[in-house]
Amino acid sequence: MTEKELEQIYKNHQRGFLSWAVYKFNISSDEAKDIFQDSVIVLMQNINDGKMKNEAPQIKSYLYGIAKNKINDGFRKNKNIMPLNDFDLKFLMQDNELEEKTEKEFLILHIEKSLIALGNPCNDLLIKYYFENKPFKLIAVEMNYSNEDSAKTSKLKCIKRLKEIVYKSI
Amino acid sequence: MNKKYTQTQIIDYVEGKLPKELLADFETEIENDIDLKKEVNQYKNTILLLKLQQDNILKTKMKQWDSELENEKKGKIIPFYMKFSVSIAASIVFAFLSFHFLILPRNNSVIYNQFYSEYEFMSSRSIITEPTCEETCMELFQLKKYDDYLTNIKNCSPNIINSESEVSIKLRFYKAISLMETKDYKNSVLEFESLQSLPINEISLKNDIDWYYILCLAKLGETEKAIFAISKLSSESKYFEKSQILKTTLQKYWYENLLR
Repeated sequence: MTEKELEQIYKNHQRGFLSWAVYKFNISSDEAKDIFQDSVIVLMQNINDGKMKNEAPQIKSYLYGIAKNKINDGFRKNKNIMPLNDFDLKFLMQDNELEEKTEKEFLILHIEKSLIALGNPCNDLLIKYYFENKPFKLIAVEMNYSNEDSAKTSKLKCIKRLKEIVYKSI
Repeated sequence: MNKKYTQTQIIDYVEGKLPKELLADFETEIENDIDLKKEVNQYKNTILLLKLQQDNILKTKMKQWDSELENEKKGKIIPFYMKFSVSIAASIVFAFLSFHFLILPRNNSVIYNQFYSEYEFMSSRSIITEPTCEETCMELFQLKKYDDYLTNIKNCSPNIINSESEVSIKLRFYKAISLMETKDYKNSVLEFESLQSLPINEISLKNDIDWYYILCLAKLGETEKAIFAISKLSSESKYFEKSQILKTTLQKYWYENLLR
């Protein structure tokens, strides 16, 4: 999925989603925005993984489905209600949210520094493979590798090096 | 560290691409070799961090799209009276016509009585005959008396419980759920695992088994196993969307704990 396609989906659904979520679940507009963003990321990952197709009618119901679950889980967490048959995610999220955020920010900063140290083309190669889920054949074409195997070998070297940088600096 | 496995194989394992014939051996080796386990975890965390960073970049872009949408909206604001003038006029005409011509039901009780019938509890067993052990179990489960269910099922004939019949599978599934509800997650997982090895035709039951198995694993802190089980969940399952959210949460929870 390209960034342009993602932007299109985001812009097409954002307003409708926010009004729906705020009205239906009585949450703040900021909370609805956070949930929408997380849901769009899950949606994008599933499209990239080939678990669902990038088709308009499916996208809307899928997006709203993910968000609905996220909102319901959030409600359970806030209200301390845990139905017997449905003790989903609540028990996994016991950390203080503030601490979690600070830690998350730290981790992001850490990997950003590591990626800078790693440099290109490794940086691009790893993102194409791990985040965009592109096959080696396509990566080889896009990044001018002589063939698929050559891209595969480079990826192996790059992830090994990134791991070393990440753990060296901790 | 044991040099039995190459870096390629370790990375293949992390990415879930290690051939099946090597998988069991590899997992045993992880349990025995602390360095190998550390190596595997470091690769997993590095990949998760990479994904987290990319998510963060996306969220920054999304914030930018939000402001673009906000600006578009500001440019399109129409005064309230202009936007709703037609709707207001139509509402006045409709209210006037309704008042004069429409006869609306005045008494909700009439409508209620028309549709009311006493709720009847449906049970598959006959009222006249003594309930069988399986029927009693089913009813206890339906009444959510999970402790009683677990006590009662011990009295049922092992021939019925251990067969591969539809009833037996259902009873064992209820047993697994009852164990879970009574917080005996370990035995619940064992029961779900034994159910997964049986030939089950009912797809919704199969999905229920897989989903509650995943939840029990998550509750027990068997994160890797839970994530692996999620990856095997069919995209047709009604729990699929939920499972993807659970997967993301588990992954975040997992590396945060490992790096702590």
